[in-house]
Amino acid sequence: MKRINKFLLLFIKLIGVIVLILLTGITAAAIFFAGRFALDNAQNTYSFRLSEQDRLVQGIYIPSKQRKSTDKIRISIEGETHQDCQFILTTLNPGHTDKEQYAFTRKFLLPKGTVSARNISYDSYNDENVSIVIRAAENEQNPMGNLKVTVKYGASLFDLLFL
Amino acid sequence: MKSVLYTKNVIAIGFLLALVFTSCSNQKEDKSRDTYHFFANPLASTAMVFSVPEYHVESPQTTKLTIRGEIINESRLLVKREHINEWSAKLPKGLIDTTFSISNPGEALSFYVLTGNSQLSAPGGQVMADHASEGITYLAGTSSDRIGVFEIIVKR
Repeated sequence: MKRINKFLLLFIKLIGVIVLILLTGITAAAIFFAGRFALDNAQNTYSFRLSEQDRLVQGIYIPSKQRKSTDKIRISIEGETHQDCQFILTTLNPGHTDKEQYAFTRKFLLPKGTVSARNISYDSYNDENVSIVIRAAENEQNPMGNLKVTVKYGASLFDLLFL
Repeated sequence: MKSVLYTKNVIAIGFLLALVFTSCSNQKEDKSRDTYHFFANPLASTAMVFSVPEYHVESPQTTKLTIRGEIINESRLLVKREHINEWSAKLPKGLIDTTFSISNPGEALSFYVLTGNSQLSAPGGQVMADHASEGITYLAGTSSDRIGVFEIIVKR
């Protein structure tokens, strides 16, 4: 009986040690992946601002080499326009021959007033250059507005966990 | 004595060759770092921007920009320094192979190519329901939006 108790105690101790090791491992892995995700997220985020000084056009060019990873491009536009504007997103393959080359342009109207467009998402590939431009409808004498455009690459944490 | 002299000569020649090789490869690297190519194809439309990453010059200098290809609809080349429109040139419809000299005051430049007509009231505009965003409407492209097929070469 004493011998069985001794074995049981040893077995419970062993289980406890295994559980502790597993918990430590899982916690370390979670911290590692959360840190890596945060780093990736920061490295794959770009933004530009439209200020009162801007006339006619303002944008950002993101060459493919600058990006760490992509499978989705997510854009948010927040702010106010002083005149009707266009938001133009172009994804380009920088191929050197006509056959390799392609470009996709998506165009949106940003009417005068408050703009709050979040999570405009498109698929994008690693080897694509991206051009994002906001263009005024009127002439270049008038200011375009105050806007902040944020571009994020890669899937969101929600996408990774639930999709 | 002779062999020592011979060894010294071999080392000297080797050193010289290494020096020449290093300087040649550095020059090649510098040259490629100063020239940037951008390509656009006929589907690119309305407005595009190109910029050289970390394109900062230490002192004012001239940037040479060559645009080569075909412009489908009359467009415009605009160079911006941060938020300021620095320089602009008309790009007439047809074949083009022109080099522009742009004075660069020492800040990052962005190069925009945009069509003459912004076509805001293009037919076919529709609200993108899946975006669920306030104040943004999808606009269908038209043939007059097309800029052209061209390459831009920037040399500093």
